[in-house]
Amino acid sequence: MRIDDAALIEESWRRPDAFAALYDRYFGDVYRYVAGRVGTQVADDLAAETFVVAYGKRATFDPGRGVVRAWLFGIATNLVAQHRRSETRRLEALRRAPAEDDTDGGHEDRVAARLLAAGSRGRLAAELRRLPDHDRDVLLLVALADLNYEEVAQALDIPSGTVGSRLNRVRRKLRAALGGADPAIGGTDE
Amino acid sequence: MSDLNGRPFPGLPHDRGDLDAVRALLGSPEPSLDTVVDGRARLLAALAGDAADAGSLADVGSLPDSGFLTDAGPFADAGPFADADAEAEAGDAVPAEPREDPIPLRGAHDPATREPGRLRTTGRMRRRLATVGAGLAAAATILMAAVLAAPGGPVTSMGPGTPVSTAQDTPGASSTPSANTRKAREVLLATADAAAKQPAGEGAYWRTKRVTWWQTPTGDRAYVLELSLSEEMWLARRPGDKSRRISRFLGAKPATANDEAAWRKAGSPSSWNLLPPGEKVTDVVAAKPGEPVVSELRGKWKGSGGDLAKELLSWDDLAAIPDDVDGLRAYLTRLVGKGKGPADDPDRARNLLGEAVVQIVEGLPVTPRVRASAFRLLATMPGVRAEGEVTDRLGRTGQAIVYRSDGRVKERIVVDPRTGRTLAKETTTVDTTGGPEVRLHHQTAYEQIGWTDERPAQATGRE
Repeated sequence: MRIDDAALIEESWRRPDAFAALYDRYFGDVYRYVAGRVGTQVADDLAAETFVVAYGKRATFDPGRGVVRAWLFGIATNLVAQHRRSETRRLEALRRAPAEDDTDGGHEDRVAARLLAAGSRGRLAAELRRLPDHDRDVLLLVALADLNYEEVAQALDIPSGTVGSRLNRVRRKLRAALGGADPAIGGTDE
Repeated sequence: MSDLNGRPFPGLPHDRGDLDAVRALLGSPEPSLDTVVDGRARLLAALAGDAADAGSLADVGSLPDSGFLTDAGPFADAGPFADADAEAEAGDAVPAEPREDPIPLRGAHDPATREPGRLRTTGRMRRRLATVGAGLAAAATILMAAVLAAPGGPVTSMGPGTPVSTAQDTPGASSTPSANTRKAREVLLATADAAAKQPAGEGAYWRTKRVTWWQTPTGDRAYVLELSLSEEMWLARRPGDKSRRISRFLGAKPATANDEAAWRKAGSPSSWNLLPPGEKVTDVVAAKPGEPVVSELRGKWKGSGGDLAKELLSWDDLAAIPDDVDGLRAYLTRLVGKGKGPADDPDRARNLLGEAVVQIVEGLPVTPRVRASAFRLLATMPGVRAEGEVTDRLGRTGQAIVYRSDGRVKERIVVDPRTGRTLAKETTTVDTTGGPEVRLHHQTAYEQIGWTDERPAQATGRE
C-alpha cells in the first residue's frame, strides 16, 4: 500500500500536499544526520530547510538516477556546507571536552559513547576536523545516514568509484587515530 | 545502530567499529516535538503558497483538474473550517454548545470522561513518548506532528489571488467586530481581572500537571486512534534542585464510535503500528497504559522556568517579561520575530504571537499581572471568537475562545473567567497527507499549575 517516494514527488505537482508525506517519512533521518554534524540548535533550522529546498527543486529529482532519500541527504549536505563553521566549532568542542555534557544524544548514543575512551574521542574529533570537507561528507553520509556507495554517489553527484576511494582513505585515517593498526574498538579485539 | 539494513556495501571491511565510533562521538539525536511540528509547518506554508499559485493556473485550464484545485479543495478559500466560522459569525447569540462543534468535547457517552480514573489503571508498557532515543521516537513524534500541526506555523489557506470573501478572521479585513468577537473580548477581560487577583505565590518548584489526548490515524489509515499522556513538569526555582518531568502514557483506543466499529472489523487489535505497512520500521503503540517515567531535565532545561516561542527562559528572563499590555505585545513580537521564515507574512506573525500569548496563560511561571496582561492582549487580537460554555475532558466548565482558525488549523482555549485560569487548549487539524482528509482533534487539559514546596519523585531508570 505504500506509495513510492518518487510517485509522491510526481503527485506533488498536482497536489503539493503529497510532498508532506516525504517529510513525515524522512524528517527524522535527515534531522539525526544534520544534528550529528552541526548540533541540534542549527539542525532545528537546517533539517526543516532541507525539505523546503527539496520541494522547491523537486524538478531536479530524476527517478532514473536514484532514490528520494539519497537526494534529500544531498540537499541536507549542501545546507550543512553553508554552516561549516558550526560543524568546525562543534568538532573543536568535542575534541577539547569529549562529550561530557552531551545532552543531545539519545540514551543509546550515550551508552555507545561511554565505550569510547575519552582519549580516542578527542583524537577522533580532531581527525574529523582535519578531514577535507568532501571526505567528511562521504564519511558522515555513511556513518550517520547509513547510505551505501551508490546513494552517496547520488547524494553528492560524484562517481561511485570516487566514493569508494575517498571512504577507504578516510577510514584508514580514522583507524589510525583510534589506535593505529590494532583498532581498540569494534569488537575485533586481537 | 550499525545495522546496514542489508544494503550492499561492496569493498567495505566487515568491521564497522570506526564508523560506529564516529556515530558514537557525534550522536544522532532525535528532533524535539517542537522541531518536527515547526518544520512541518514551514513546509506546509511553502506548499500552501504553491497550491494557491497552482489554483490560479488551474483556473485558466493549464493544469488537469484534480479536484484539489477546485473551490472545494482544502486550499480553497477559507478552508475546511469555513462553515463553522461562517456559522459562528452569523449567529448573534452564543450557543451554549455549538451545533456541530468542530472540536467535539466528549460527552457522557465517553467512558474516558465518565471515569477518568479508568485511564490510570496500572499497566506495564511504557513504550512510547516516555522513551526518547529508541530510534523510533522520531517516527512517533512525526505522527504526532500531523496531529498537533503547526502551532504558530502559517498553514494558511489564503494565497495570493485567492478570493477573500469569507475571510472574516483576517486581520484588518473588516471594521466592526462580530458579536462572537465582542463576547470573546468580554470573557477574556473578565478572565484577566480574575487572574490579576490571584496571589503570586512562591515555592521551591513551579509545577504544572496536564493531560493530553491526541488523535492519529493507524498506519494503514483504516481508522483513527486516540492516545493520551499525562505530564508533570517540576521546574526547580533554586539552582541546587533538580528539575524533573514525570510522564505517563495513559493508553490508546479508537477515537470515535465509527473508529471503534472499524477497529472491531479489524479484529479488535490491542496494539497498532502507526507507520504505513511496507515501511521498514514500525512504531507500535499499545492500548495498555504505561508506568510513570520520571526523568531529570538536563541541558538547556537546567535553570529554566519554561519555554516561550521555542526558547527556554531562565528565571531572570521570566521576571523581565513586561507586565503591561503594550510592553508585553512589543516583547512577544520581538521574541517571535527572532525565528526564521517569511517575516513579511502577517498571518504567520499573528499566529506566532497568538501562540506565544497562549503559552503564557496556559502555565508559564509569570506574575498574576503578566498573566492578566496576556489575557488582555489576547482580547485585542483580531479573529478571537467566543464559542460559549463547554466542558473539558476533566469535566470542568469554562468558556471556549477561538484564537486561530485558518485553512488547516483551528485552536481554542477554555478559560474560567471566575478564577482567571486556563483550563484547556484544543486543536483541530486537517490531515490530508495520507490521502483522504481526516480531521484530528487534540486536547490538553491543565490539571494543576502553581508553586509548591513538595518535591518531585526521584528519576527512574539509569539516567
